[in-house]
Amino acid sequence: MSAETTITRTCRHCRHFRNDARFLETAFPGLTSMSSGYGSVRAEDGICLRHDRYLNAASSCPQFGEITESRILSGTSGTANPSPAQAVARQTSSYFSGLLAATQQSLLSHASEDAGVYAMTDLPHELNGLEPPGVANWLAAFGTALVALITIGILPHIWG
Amino acid sequence: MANTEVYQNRVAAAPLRWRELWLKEDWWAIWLGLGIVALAYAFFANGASIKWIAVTPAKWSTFAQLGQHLADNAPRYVAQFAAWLAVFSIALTALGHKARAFIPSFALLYVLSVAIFALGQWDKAVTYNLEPPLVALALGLILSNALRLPRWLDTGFRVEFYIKTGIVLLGATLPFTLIVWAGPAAILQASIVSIITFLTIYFVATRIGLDKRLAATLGAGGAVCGVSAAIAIAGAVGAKKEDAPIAITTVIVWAVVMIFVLPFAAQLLHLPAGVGGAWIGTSEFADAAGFAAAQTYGDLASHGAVAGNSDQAVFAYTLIKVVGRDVWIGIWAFVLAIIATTKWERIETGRKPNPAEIWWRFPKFVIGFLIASLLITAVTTGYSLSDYNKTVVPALVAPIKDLRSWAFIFCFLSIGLTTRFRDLASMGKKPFLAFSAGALVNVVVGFVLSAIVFAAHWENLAR
Repeated sequence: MSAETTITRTCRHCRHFRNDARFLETAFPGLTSMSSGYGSVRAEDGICLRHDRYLNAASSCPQFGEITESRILSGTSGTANPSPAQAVARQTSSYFSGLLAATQQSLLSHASEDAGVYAMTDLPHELNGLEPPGVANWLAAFGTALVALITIGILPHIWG
Repeated sequence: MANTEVYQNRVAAAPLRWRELWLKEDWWAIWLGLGIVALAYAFFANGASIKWIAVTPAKWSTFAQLGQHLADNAPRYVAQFAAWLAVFSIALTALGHKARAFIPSFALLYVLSVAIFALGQWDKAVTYNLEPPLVALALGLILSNALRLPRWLDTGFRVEFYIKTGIVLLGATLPFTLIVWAGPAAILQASIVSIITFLTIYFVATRIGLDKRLAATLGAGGAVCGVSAAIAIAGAVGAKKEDAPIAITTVIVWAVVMIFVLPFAAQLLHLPAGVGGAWIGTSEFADAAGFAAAQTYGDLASHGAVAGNSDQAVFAYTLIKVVGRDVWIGIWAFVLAIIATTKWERIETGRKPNPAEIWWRFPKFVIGFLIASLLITAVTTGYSLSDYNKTVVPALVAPIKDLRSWAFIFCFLSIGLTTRFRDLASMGKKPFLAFSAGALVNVVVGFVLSAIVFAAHWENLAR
């Protein structure tokens, strides 16, 4: 049985659907002020670019579009995958595609990678499943933890 | 190549299910909170304590005193900062954030938190109403709205993560017997207010011509747990494009107003700490905002400005808000999803509501809160009251409470630092009107239930 046949035609598997927590925190201004894209209550809901709706990942509709690309955009290079705005231009209109274009223009084009802006993908489902934290990030986190442990271990002796 | 792409697609699109355990911040709040509680108990059981690292600014009246305290305890603050930085870095890296962005951001947050905490310990602070939660919020709002802070700093301003971690730690300081004793009244009171508030907002919203899905999203935002409830219900009912941002803006505006209004309104009405905390729990919208208000009221009580003690305000708030309102978000989502898919638009989203949603949307940090409470209650049952106060409180409970206070300060400051009014979506007059109607009803009904119907119950809480 091919892998394709196991994919159900729900939003979760649809190319029009975006439910990455970081993307939603950008798309919904103020979400991080008193909530989060990473909370359990959101479950796996996301934005349908085809219908401009915020939907449960288990929803479905006749306009289902199977995901066919999986590379991550590395910027606005012409050789990279089409930008989200370009990719959906023929399928959608209005609010979210405009938002994506604006986001890409103002954030991706004019900000460095270190500016806290995350590269959007043309495969925008839960990014944690697609793009686990890089080795450099883990090294930074564990390095911090190691320094913390040493600090906590040494300071009482110096101080005491 | 084709096989690789299909495989990646399947991985990307696979339901989270139990991967939630390391991909949702609720679970990380549990791991961190319970980890701290377990560590505190391990030290306590071996005749030691984590109080060395749970340092907080001491009371002061002159800058010389404050300077002396900071100089004497500098290694403790450095160690505490390093410890927070380490555990938060690991958790946020697992969630997909960048540690190198988080580290400087959290350093700034910690320095500001020390300053706010110290200000709150000034002996004249109460005279000028310089309650730490309000100062943190106000300072954050000024910094984020008057200055253009770089966006990457937001990596360290994780409001929900800090408040959830703080709530799990709060569980360790709240006896489980108290939850069992006061829980049913909290659930009853919260349910009454939630249902009335939701129906008011929904009724007004649909009467003035708003879409049912927006009405439901706004209603949940006012009735259950603010922004989190709004986005949960927006997804459950398949809200339209801008519904969630409208609800988010409306909730934030009202929540920020309530943080400043409710504690002082309660003080003006001479409500005891427990009653005031219950009223805030019934009438605030978001968890984090409510904790800021409840903590402020608790601080007023600890300064003698209102009757009761600080714990009563925070405990009553927690029972009403977390136990009485938050835990039902999955039920709300499930019921509204049924209505949306069977009455409003069965064909459009082609989805059958699944009861499992009740679990997947459950705010899991509440589990950590209950486990922490159960653990500490279980390990301290053998102590007499005097031994408990003499031994357990200073060596075990008080340090956890101090670390909880830090987590809350990080949260309150982060609320202000992430609330950029110019970035919020326009809410429109009608949604604001509908939500405001519900907020007013909520405040009145909440007051009647807290200060009249259940007044004795809340006044005697944790006395």
